[in-house]
Amino acid sequence: MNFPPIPITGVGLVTAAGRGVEPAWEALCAGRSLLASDADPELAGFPPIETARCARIDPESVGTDRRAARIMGRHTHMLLAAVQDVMADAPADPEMAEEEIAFFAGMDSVDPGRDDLLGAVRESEGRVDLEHFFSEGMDSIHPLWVLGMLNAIGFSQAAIQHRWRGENAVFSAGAEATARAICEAADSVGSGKARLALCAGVSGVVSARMLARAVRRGVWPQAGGLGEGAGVIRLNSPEGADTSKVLGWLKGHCSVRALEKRGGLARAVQESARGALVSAGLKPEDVDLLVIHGEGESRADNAEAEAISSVFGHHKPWGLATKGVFGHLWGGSPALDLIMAMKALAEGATPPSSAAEDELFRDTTDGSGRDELNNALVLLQGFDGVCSGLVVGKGA
Amino acid sequence: MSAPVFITGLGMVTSLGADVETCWRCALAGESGLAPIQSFDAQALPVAGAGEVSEETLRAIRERLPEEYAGEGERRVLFALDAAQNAVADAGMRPGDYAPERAGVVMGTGLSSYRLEDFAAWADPENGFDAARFARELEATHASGYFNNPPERATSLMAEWFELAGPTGTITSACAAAGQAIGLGMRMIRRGEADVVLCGGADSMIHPVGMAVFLLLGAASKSKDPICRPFDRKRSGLAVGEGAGVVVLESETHARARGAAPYAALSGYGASMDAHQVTAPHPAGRGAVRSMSEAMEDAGLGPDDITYVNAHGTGTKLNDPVETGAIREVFGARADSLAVSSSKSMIGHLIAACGAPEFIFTALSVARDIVHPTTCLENPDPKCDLDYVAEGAREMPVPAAITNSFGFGGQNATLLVRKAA
Repeated sequence: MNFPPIPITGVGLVTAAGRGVEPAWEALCAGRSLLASDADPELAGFPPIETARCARIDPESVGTDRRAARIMGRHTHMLLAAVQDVMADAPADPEMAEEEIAFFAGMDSVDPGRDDLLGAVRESEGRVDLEHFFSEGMDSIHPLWVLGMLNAIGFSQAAIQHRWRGENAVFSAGAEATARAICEAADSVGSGKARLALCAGVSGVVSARMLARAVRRGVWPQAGGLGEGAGVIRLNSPEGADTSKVLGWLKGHCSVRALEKRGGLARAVQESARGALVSAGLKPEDVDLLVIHGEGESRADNAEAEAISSVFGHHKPWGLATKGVFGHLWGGSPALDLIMAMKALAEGATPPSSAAEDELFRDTTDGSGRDELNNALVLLQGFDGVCSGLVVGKGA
Repeated sequence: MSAPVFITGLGMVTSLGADVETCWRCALAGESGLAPIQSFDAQALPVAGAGEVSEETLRAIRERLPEEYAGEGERRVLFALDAAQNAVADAGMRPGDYAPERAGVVMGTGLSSYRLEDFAAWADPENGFDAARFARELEATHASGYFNNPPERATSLMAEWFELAGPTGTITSACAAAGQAIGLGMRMIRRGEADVVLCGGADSMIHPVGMAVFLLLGAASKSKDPICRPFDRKRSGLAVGEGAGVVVLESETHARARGAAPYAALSGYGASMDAHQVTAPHPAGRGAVRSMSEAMEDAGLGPDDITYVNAHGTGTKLNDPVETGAIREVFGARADSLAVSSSKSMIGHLIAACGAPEFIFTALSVARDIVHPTTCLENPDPKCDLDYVAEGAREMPVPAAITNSFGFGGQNATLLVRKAA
């Protein structure tokens, strides 16, 4: 998809490393994995899992009252914290109309509190007793319990807090959802429909129900460690931005779905990478840094390696992978990877990572690679073979 | 003003039927699809009925779907696939008519819902929930429930079946989801990402937890009859419906090149947020005003060009007067000469999918110069004082029309349809 280079003027990030970009960057540079064996007794029946969970965020610290907190899960707290940070960093122009602020998000599935429903349901002769549920059980459920079933409610909370009234959408689920949210936010400011656009990527919260969905979806335990987190990226209209404060430039995007009849996953990764470069007006040799999806599942990783080899040929960019440190954040991954890519471009440094050991990338095994880095390509693989490429350029 | 996008294929499943012409004929006749619930024992449910797709229709859908899709566990996925195959057939699309990488899919839907069985089976009276046993017995989770049906399921299956390798999206913006999905489909074509996009919405909340949701929120009608009365003084809430709507959108160039005859053109899309309260619309309809105005601006049209509004019209105390006021603000003096009707009075509220069948009805109104009525409107509400077409279907010129979808939480979408040139 084509859009003019869009200035990125703020970021907010919540990961297992803490709040903010710096703790996450430090963990990445130190090669310090935040994944650890998860001893939550609720997960005991599942295969052993490593997770990188976020620390609890006090709902009141992110501007919610007790009533609102009742309908929020931790995914909302992560989102509100990341939003709070990005807006504190660079407040909206008070002259800007609220209707000129757009908001898009990619969010994973969410879970409302379990106890309400558990107390309301009982079996009778092996069947759910619907008469009991409708006549008595339902009354024990908090009226707002149901709002916890919608990821759009957390999204709305953020919009309400900050009075964002422009165009919007919530996409679900996984990495493709957030890649699409970023692309729609870019289109919104690039086409003049908004002057400011926020785009968020939010992971699910690790729980037995989340793992149950992942198992049934067939994406876990193959995919390895799971992380939690949220990232928010702030995009300004190209006309209105102070270029001295631009953290990076969003330059291109492309998404392609893998179809077996068309060469499967490797071709889709290839086409999404090539398409993103074309939309950014770049050639493969213009890419200094490649942020790989690298989820650790052999089919996905092999397809990605094959595609990189095909797209880049003899050109070896620096490589960066985040999942070994933070786990797979699914819907949160694109935001995390884009923010880490921008940080690497700003620092002119590539943290050592598993990606650096691959023959496809420049060698950083003797420490962090330091170089003049101008453009990064972020590769993403979402659910059901949807592949995306995002191109970001160095800021001021 | 941007280039129009052609609507070349329509497919839908609602409680009125599983094909567009049946649904349309029933809607024009003011027939109600609302009836007592059959899919589960609803005797103790304090709701008289819903817009439920009959078991007979569901069986027929399974029979006409290809074998690999007929066994899908979730009703909304089956509805989506059936609507999609009908839309593609209606558009006269054949393999090779489009390049897969230039064809996309965007669907609006919900996240899926828990089923009571997913809790009852592992409830432990002593210790709450037996998580360890649950983890070992995942295959026993309800086939139609949250654990087995990710939100993008229908989107992915449509892409696989119709070889749509281009841009994709699954939108879960509550009741604005399908409207936004169709709006996004239009944008994908306008900005050159795709030549063809299948888009729409699918949802089904007619199950015990789903019905409880709307009762707990105080949104569902507890009327003793299975009816929904949008804009009526005695309206008592929404009637839950289920189904799907899928449309084929094409660039004008692509449609003309293959000789497709469009129903109408999708010319405008507006989206906004109320940013007011999670549980109530902005009292002045600020977001609704914005989405309608944006859609008209996007199409390069003004209030004088529109003659019909397919309203969100839920039949709830809060929505209907706010929407009426917003229409008045946007259209000014022209508001009194608009025809405004609510499809939900006949098919119920399809929740995340509602914008899709309502968009299809709007497109047919523009194509055929006739609008369907709002049924059950017998007691005028002074706060709802527009022309709601209460007397029956009306033949009238419809050069352009808008359709509204307003979501719980404050997300809004408006689509503008005009005659194809």
